[in-house]
Amino acid sequence: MGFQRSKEFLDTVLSYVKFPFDKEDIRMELQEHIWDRIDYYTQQGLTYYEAEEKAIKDMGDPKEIGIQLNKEHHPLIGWLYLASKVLVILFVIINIFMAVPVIIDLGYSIFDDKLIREIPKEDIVYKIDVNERVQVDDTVINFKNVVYDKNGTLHISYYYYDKKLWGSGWSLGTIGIITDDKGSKYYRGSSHTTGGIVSKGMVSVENFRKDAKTLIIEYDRYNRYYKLEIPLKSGENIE
Amino acid sequence: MVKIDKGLIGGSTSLLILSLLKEKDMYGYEIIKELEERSDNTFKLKEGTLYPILHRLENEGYLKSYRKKGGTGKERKYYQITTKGEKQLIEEKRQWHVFSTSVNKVIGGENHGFSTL
Repeated sequence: MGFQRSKEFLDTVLSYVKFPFDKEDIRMELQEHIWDRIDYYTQQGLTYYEAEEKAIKDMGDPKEIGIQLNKEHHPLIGWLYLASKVLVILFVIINIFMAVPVIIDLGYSIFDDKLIREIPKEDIVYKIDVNERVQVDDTVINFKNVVYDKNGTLHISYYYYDKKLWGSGWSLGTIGIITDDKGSKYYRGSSHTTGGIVSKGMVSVENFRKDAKTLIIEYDRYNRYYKLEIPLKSGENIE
Repeated sequence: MVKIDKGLIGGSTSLLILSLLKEKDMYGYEIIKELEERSDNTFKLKEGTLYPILHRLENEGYLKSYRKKGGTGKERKYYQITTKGEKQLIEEKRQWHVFSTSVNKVIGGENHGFSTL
């Protein structure tokens, strides 16, 4: 036995249906109908073979059914429907990635940077919450804290990440040239970064002028530019 | 047994289907059986041609479909009438009424002048 006649019938119907994604559903629906009909006839005493013959005959002309079904499963409408679904999914994904900076900033702004926490509390003269965001291409740099310690070293902590998580892997060579409002230019004493999706970094500038009122970070490389002015607690406020 | 010309019932198939589905959700084979039984086998359409009609009604938003296990434990594709379909049913019933009344007026000529000839 086996459903040889049914299979032939269904193959003929489906050969007229052009939109591929609906084919299996249609096949199943018609197949189930034929099975129900075969059951009905075998219960009436027909042999399986006779029942199948009769059930197929009851279905009608497979070509006509196929042509009519194809009209209702038109490739253009089908593809448009599929395309609209894909667009919706893309839209959702893009939105999630647009939201990434917000989520990351939220997460990181709550907790103090680990690198900052490594500075002994008693050494800190003052700490400023900066939370200034700049962007170079797809890389977002968020300057988080500035800490001035009793040895005259200014620590600038920041984190950065690629807006596209699958991003270019563009690594941040430098955060820019560090100067102050008095016109002093500083060369970095030390800096270190830790990796991950979000990289954290800290630049420590030794012998930073005590009386400087503003810290200036200026980045000008490869035609990318940003300038950040961070007000400091001026010299006289420090005991 | 009288078999009605396919073309004649063609126009009213959607009326019949929507009426049946107004009562309860059904799958294709069930609809065919109901049509046969209720019309004493007058409506014996080629069963496969039901599906393009069902799919058209679904595309037009008169029906929606879902898969469910029926009483026999076998999973089948059920059709359910939508609100839009119910409105369409009322409209088609109205049209059918106009049509059948007009036909009766023409053919049921006992009270008409012609019949006395």
